[in-house]
Amino acid sequence: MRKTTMALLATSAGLALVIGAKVESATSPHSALVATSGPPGAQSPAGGSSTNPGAPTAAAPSGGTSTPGSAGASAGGRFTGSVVDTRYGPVQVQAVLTAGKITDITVLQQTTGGHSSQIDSYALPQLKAEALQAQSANIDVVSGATYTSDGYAQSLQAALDAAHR
Amino acid sequence: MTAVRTATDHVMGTVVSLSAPGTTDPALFQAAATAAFAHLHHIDEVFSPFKPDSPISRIRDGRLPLTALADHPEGPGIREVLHLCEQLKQDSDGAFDAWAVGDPPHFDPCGAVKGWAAERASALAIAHGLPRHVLNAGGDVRLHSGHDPAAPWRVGITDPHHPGTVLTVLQVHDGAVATSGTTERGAHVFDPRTARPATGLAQVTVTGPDLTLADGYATAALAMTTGPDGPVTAHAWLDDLAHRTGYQALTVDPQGATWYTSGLPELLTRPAASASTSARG
Repeated sequence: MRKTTMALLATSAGLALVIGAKVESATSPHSALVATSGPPGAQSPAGGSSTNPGAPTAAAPSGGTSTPGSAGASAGGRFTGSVVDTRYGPVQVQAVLTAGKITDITVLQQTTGGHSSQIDSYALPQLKAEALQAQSANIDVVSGATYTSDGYAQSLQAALDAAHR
Repeated sequence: MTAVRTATDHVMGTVVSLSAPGTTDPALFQAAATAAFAHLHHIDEVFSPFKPDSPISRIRDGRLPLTALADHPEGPGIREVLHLCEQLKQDSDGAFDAWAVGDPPHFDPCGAVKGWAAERASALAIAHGLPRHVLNAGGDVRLHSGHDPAAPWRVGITDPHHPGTVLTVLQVHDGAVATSGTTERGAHVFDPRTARPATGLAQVTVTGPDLTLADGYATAALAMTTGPDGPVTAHAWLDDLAHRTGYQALTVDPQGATWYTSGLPELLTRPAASASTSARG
């Protein structure tokens, strides 16, 4: 039972991520991708957490746990899955089972919080590792939000142009 | 000594930089830069909404009817831009609408003109003997690899939340990289369907073969970000755009979270330091 549940949770995590965008655009108040009922401190803070995708959370350790008395044959209760390393980053889900059926899934751990983070997060590990200082990045040109003539003076492009003049 | 030869000019309310290999003949480079910049100044005269008697201002105010463009000396260029605006409006489901810019809505094709102008200036630079060059028009970049296709240009993408640093570096041989955002000019992009400023994403970068389209797509995506579902809408549109056209995108939200289309990683450079940081596929 327990092994089956854990496998189910892992599958659910992948499934939830795949359908993430759709769930979010429907702005479902019980979106599977928003921690609505996780334990305090388990959810990644909204925003700003993108630089530490591997940060530990206060949720259950890998391997999965369930609340006492809920893992029995009654097939009901709140189950916490193990941390699953998905292409979107490490994800941990909590599921509520009622009469053997999953009635709610909550994401306890994700690489970044906030809106649309499930899709965002897969970009972060590679990109943030490359948040390079321009001076050391050996770049030829800089693309950025349109600068004004005044803004140009402070821009990286201006520094590059000055170096090449 | 100088690996790159660069010239800059203030035009269209921003600064345009032209760079070519340091081995380029100085006189030839200067002549090419002069021609490219002169063309941009001319386009600015025609298309500036800030010059009260520019043809674009007169179209906006109803003083120059579109039916009169056939006889207008700048008619062909203006029609080209109008056609482009129409195409971008259709592609973006109305999020980019040059006929409904700002509040109150008015005609302003600026969102399409800069990329279009830079694309033409870059072509002019090639015609003047610069097969390998980079033209950067206020952050919108057109790149040509010329006779050295083995050496891609390295294009830094600014980090809107950390001025002075780049978020990542794209390697591009031939093509365009355009970025729209709220950092430099504030929330200046409006969704014409809601007349609200677009603030759901801090920055949108689009890369593909043509700077005219890349710039328009980036502006259109940013215009979609009003309302709580704005970023989701913009990302879904950019994903679809990538599948339809091959143009790839990278966005940064107001909290600093990044997102990109599935084809973008092919352009990312990979410093050795980050090679072992991720085990996921």
